[in-house]
Amino acid sequence: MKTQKNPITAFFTSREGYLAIFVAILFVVLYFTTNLSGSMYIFLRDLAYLIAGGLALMMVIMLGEIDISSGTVLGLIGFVTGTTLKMGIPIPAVLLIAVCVGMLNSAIIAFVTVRFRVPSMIVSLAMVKLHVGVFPLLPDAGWVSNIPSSISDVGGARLFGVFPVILLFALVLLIFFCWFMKYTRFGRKVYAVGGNKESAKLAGINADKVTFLTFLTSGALLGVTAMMYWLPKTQVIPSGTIGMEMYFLPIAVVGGVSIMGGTGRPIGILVAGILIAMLQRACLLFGLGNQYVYLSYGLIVLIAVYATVSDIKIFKGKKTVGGAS
Amino acid sequence: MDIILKLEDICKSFPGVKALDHMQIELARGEMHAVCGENGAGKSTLMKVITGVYKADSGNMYLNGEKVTIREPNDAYAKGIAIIFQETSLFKDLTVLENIFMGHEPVKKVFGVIPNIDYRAMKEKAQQIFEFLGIDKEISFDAKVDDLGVAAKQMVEIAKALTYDANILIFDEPTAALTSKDVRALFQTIARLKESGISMMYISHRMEEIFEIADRVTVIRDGSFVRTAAIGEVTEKELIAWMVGREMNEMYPKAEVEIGKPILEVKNLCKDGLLRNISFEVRQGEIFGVAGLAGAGRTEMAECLSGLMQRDSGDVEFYGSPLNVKAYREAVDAGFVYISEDRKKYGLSVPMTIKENLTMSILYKISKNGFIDFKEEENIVDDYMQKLRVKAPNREFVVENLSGGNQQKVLVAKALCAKPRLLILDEPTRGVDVGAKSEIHRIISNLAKEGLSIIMISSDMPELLGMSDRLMVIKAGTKVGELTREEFSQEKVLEMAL
Repeated sequence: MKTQKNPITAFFTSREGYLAIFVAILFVVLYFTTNLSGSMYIFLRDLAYLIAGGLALMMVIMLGEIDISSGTVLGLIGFVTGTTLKMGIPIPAVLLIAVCVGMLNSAIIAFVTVRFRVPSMIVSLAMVKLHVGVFPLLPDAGWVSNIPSSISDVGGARLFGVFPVILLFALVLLIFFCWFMKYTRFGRKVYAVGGNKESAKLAGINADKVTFLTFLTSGALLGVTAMMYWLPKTQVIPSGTIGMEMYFLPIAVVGGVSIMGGTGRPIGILVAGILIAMLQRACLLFGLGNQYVYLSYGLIVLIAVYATVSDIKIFKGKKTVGGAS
Repeated sequence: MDIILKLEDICKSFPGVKALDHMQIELARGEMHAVCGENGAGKSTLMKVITGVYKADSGNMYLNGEKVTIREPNDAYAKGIAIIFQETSLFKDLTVLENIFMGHEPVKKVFGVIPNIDYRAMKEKAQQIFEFLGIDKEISFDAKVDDLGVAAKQMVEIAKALTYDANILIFDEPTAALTSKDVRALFQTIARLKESGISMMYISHRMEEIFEIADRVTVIRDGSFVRTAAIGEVTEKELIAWMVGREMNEMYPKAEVEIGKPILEVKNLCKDGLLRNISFEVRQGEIFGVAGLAGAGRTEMAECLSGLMQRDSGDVEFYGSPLNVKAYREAVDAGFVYISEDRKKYGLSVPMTIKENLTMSILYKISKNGFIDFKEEENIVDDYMQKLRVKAPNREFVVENLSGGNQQKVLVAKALCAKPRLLILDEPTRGVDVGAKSEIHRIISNLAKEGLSIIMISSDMPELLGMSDRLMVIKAGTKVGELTREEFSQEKVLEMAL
């Protein structure tokens, strides 16, 4: 009964595959009914940070944890990077600083979660309030204006007139994580700890260590996300990031990461990221307000969660192999 | 004899319980060594000590004659000791291949530096193991474990153990969830493992299995070593006698009760895969014992009767009228109250006070227009606390801080508040110390004296024999037989249950 599926058929019969087909259809419809081609560059540029942020949340959700502060931390990082960029520090060094700030934030959440057994939901919620409380205390309420256009031009660099360079970075990141989750022991351990903590311990895996390191990875990704978000802009407004975790969370959930932990693939993040970025664009192009963006997110998340928890045939072909069930 | 593994003087305590008391066991190279004992005798604890899941408080362990210490599961795996757990410990969302190598995947360096999981090496090794186990045609490496049946999952567990190159394998009740056909397949696999020189320990309740496949058997009772014998030199009767081996004492104050006419009649109770054609009756003032091994379907029977689980078929008559409850609430209203074996999960809300717990199920009776009548509530609570002698400073005491025995009393009191006509007690003295145990028995006895009928499910054999008027034995979801008090003996019950 050993069947070796062709990888392409395997993909298009998986959950991510169905989603990809849906997204492709939506794309074609949008392309021909609206002026999507006109705002293609912005669409692709937004996709970059959505992929990075989606990956960051994927890591923690895969563990069965969550990081609600993944939105507001971008504001904090933005303040730091904006300030340092204005000081003339080279972009690679600023990227490193951004990664460090992101890791620090996640390290705090992970430490409290692991050490004191406080659910990460509560800890990261507290972090959100800390961030929001800190913004007004920063110089100029954290606003960094008049970032030289020589810098924002680097962020806005494009290939062939339409393809943003930062999206290239996001795709490299995505490919790295596809490899990382499948081909490293650490990647496998993340699935194990998220899937069944007790079994993981019995398999000799240090669950606390894995949790901590996964949060650090997620934090580093958020650092990159912040850079991708702010670098093309000439102005940093930290309070604008409030609620941005609600972009990343749907991407992870729609992308097939079970909120209970243990499942999900980075490729799903790509597909779901395109979906969310497209919905954003679609609502703007149809002249619909933000309220419709949120409505569509809400509905999509509900459908995705329902698909995960229920046995919808199309998503979950149930079959029994070898012996009684 | 060539001893590969030897344990001496192993002690292990959990808060309030001595799980292992100077336990010893030795495993010869290439032998199949059965470990048997009653429910809760400490078999699984012993295996967890061997595999590093628990750390022994004291005692020595020798592997190939050398003293070793095993601190965590990884140590055991590294030394070639692996266990196939009772409840499979697989990751259901991952594939078979990913599962069997979890945590110790073969790694190949790419460009000499980047460690990369070597899926090809994994497949090759898995292929060898699967061929050896004879399952390479049945189970696909890429199948998700969640989609496998119980028997296939177990084979994957065995394959997982072999990926560690284990030469000592421990089976913890492997046949508990298998059909007889799957058991045969498992035994063939075990025979193949034995041929290749792997030493095995095998925990099981099932006598016929032990006599079929084991070379030697060690009996454990109350966490202590009883004896080890070669399988050819011991009879089933002797084994059971060693497993039981206790004497009755003053633990069971049984009051003389006038037993009335039948109040509950159950006919052909069925639940798919769990219960088959169970029929019995319970009389007024009677204590009706239900014996059987863990997993035989005792709790499921109680749940089917009280509406916590829907039965597939069967008639239940209670006080002359049919009892067809869709929800537990209706059962309680009919005077049919069930006390769960899992006190903390299904019995009490432990962070709440004694008072709040006691009146939880009768709030509608003691409140007017949605407001609780505190005076009446306090009267009821004081009444039952006194009656059952709950030892607590006051009625506002948080249940969590009570001892196990007193928590159990609160649970019984809570059930009594609902004014039951029939009480189902599931493991009424689990996790309760000896003193409280006899007190709970006295309470049960007094309740019967007042005319309450009681169904008592218990794994504690002396308790069942000491307290019951009649006894029903369940094995694998079917009723094996019924014994009257005159016919009671531990050996008889165990023989029927095994």
